[in-house]
Amino acid sequence: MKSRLKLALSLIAALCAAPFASAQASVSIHNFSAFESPDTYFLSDWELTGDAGGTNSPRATFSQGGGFYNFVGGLNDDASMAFHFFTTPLNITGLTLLEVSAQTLAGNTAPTFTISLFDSLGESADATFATSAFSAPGFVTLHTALTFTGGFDATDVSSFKISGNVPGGTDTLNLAVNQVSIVAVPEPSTYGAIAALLLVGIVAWRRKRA
Amino acid sequence: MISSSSCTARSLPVLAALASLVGFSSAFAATIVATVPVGYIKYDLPAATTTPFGVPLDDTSAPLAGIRTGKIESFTVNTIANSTGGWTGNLAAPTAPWLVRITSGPSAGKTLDITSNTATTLTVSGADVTTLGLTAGTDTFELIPMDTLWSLFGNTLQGGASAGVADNVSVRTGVSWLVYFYDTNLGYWRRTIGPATNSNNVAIRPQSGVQILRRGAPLTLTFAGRVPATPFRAPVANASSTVIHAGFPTDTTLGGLATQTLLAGWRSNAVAASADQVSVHNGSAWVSYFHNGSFWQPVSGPATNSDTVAIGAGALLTIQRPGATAGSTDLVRLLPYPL
Repeated sequence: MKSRLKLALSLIAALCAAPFASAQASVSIHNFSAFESPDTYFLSDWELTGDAGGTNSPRATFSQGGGFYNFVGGLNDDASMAFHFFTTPLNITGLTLLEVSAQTLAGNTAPTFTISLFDSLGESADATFATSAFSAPGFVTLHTALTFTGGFDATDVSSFKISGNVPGGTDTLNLAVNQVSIVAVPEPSTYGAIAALLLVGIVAWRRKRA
Repeated sequence: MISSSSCTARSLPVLAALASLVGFSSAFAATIVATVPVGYIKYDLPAATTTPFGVPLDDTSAPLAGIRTGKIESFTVNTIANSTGGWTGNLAAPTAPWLVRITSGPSAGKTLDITSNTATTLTVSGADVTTLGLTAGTDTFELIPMDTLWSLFGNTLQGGASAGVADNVSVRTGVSWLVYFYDTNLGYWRRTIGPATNSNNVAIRPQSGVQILRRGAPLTLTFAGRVPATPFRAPVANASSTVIHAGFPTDTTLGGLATQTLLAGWRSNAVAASADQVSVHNGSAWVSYFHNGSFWQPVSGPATNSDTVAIGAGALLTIQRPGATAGSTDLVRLLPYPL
């Protein structure tokens, strides 16, 4: 009976992983372990001197943490943002969810933040999150569907942006971010297979106990 | 090139024939020929000022080969077919991209990007074609060219060796403005930040627009085109902000446009933070308004009825929607004039 339980659990694990093994399951956009770089630009209120044109220097209240980056004290208006350019374009073909691991920090008053991807011709894919969803202690990982412009080239993602993105916004966005990725939507059949196998596991476990 | 008045590349071929908006019907003996009117629209760019605008006129160019309008004989999730299309040229070339606009049926006005084509089939993106309520063999389409930075402006604006001396053109994409300038050293449009890549082919979508920060002397831009003959239909993000123009080359007002009636799920509310908002540029800054259930009022300041706030032809509107709901909803405005 014990070996049967082990077999069932092994099957569950294998089948849970199977749907993601053949196609690309996710693409890391940034791990925020060294966010400030020559490829990262801060604009307007998020720039050291408020330069609307943008430089590589962040506002003084932003800081690099250990594996995450603290966006603290900047306005949530749509002119204030951080832009990062990839040295090699990313390919996110087949992936339609943007996943972010973040934590809302004390003093935040901004209701939302937006992360946008851009291809080399400026077409975009956008995702907006409620800051309240990240207010639990520690980092929270959530995903939402990207909204694509018509001509977005998923094979040629050249930059991304983080912003409060509210026109004329006057709230303060206080947010720590430690990972942004693009992930796949699991197929409905995958959920079905996982549910069926969990059922098998539970039945085996109950038989063992009986 | 710096000049006090400039016709753009797009306007040059037709402007000479247009002194003003041209009537749409002409009589020749006993035959009456009705055509959609063409005209032009001008924007003044004061020095050291940012001017936002859209171009609510269709480019009248025809594809190099094939029909420009026709019936949708069949369709799939991402294709539209017409057996007499004759599209032997590339309608998805980055230098000269084309859009399909649905011109009849419940989705009239919807535009789709052409991603590739054969002589008889257009492959499109931007929506699932099977969800548009089309009737094969009945509903119709037209092709319209999509403007790019180069096709709309060429090098008529003030270029420079850096973004700090050149005119800056902000192009709306999704929920963002991306800023470009014409680099005279490199001889092409490029982003103001990041690596220098040729951005001449950056698309300027027909429902949206640009903002130009003019560094040089005052300039007037003139754009010619055909008056839209279908409803205006533009996707508006369910969260964050979207920039559109009012759809047609006619003046209106906040109350006259009545955005709260054009977008399904519009949130009117007595509290600005809970309402969808519309921002209008007053010549120097964007001013935000929300519909309180009875009339439009400013987000800041006293609750004065702002229904008469002017929205000029081609003026841009920023629609801000609270929350974090993914996706977009089409805003639809019917023709405000008879054809």
